[in-house]
Amino acid sequence: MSWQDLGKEFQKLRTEFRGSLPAKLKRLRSLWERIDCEEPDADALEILKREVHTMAGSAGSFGLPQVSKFAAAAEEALAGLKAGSRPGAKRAAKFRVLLDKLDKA
Amino acid sequence: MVKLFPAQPEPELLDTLLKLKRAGLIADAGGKEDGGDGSIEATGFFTRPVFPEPATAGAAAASQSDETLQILRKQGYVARIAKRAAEEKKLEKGQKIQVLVIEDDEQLGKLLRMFLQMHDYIPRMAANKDQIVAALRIPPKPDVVLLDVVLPDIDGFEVLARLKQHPVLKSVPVVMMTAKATREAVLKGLVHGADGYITKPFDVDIISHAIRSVIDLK
Repeated sequence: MSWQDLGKEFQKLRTEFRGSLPAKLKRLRSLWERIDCEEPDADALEILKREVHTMAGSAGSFGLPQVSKFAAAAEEALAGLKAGSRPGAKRAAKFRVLLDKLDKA
Repeated sequence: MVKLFPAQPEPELLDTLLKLKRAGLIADAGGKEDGGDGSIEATGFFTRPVFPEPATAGAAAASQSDETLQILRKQGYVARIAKRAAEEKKLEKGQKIQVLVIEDDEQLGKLLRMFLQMHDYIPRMAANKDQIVAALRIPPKPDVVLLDVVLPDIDGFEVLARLKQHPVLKSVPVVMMTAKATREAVLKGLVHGADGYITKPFDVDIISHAIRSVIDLK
């Protein structure tokens, strides 16, 4: 594989990564809905934390620093939230804003 | 990439540097009384961020919780550290470096595998506990392990601890790669025997620098 091929492969992976983002964001929203409700799902919080963390880590390596930045902020917004407890209004609003920003990034 | 810090770093930075020095990651280039210039030299490398740090607030708050890294970032550095191996590694003719990549993000895993193959390394991939065990059973033992911290069914720090307790594998250098960029996380990895620590997002080129540094491959 030549360096030119590597560049092409990287672009392909980047396109693939970008293409996978809408589904990932949809999943983040779905997980969030299972947390921000009357009976918060403790497992959903664990998964959500892991998925925003993964997104924060990988997006930047695919040349999407804004996605990485907002995902890192989303991870931070979840910090301290206890499993099984409903997030407060302030935290919920902050997280939703970050999800919207991720949608637009 | 070796970088010299200023001769008189601010107190917080000095504190961090002393901790890194105790962890064996940096060497004092010698104080003025020693005839040196008082600067501190990294034995591994600190690199500039891949992307410029955003000047805006918002997500920056994610990392602002950690003052030490903020100070390092203000100085233009992020935590990309690799301890140089005690002994230089010499490859036999045709021998390639075996790299075990423990990463659960499939797409990032693909990117790393492609990059490593391109650089003539032999990567083997693992994304969870079972795959890690299976990958470690394949001879020969890896020359270096790239280890993600957040994995689906096991904590990367636990994997690190087990590797460092293993009679055969304890000598294999481990480079942690993670988006956990807190001072505690970095120091935890280093104190538990990690040979390098790379915070995500990273430029894949950094990986090759880290591998070469921790096994001292010329």
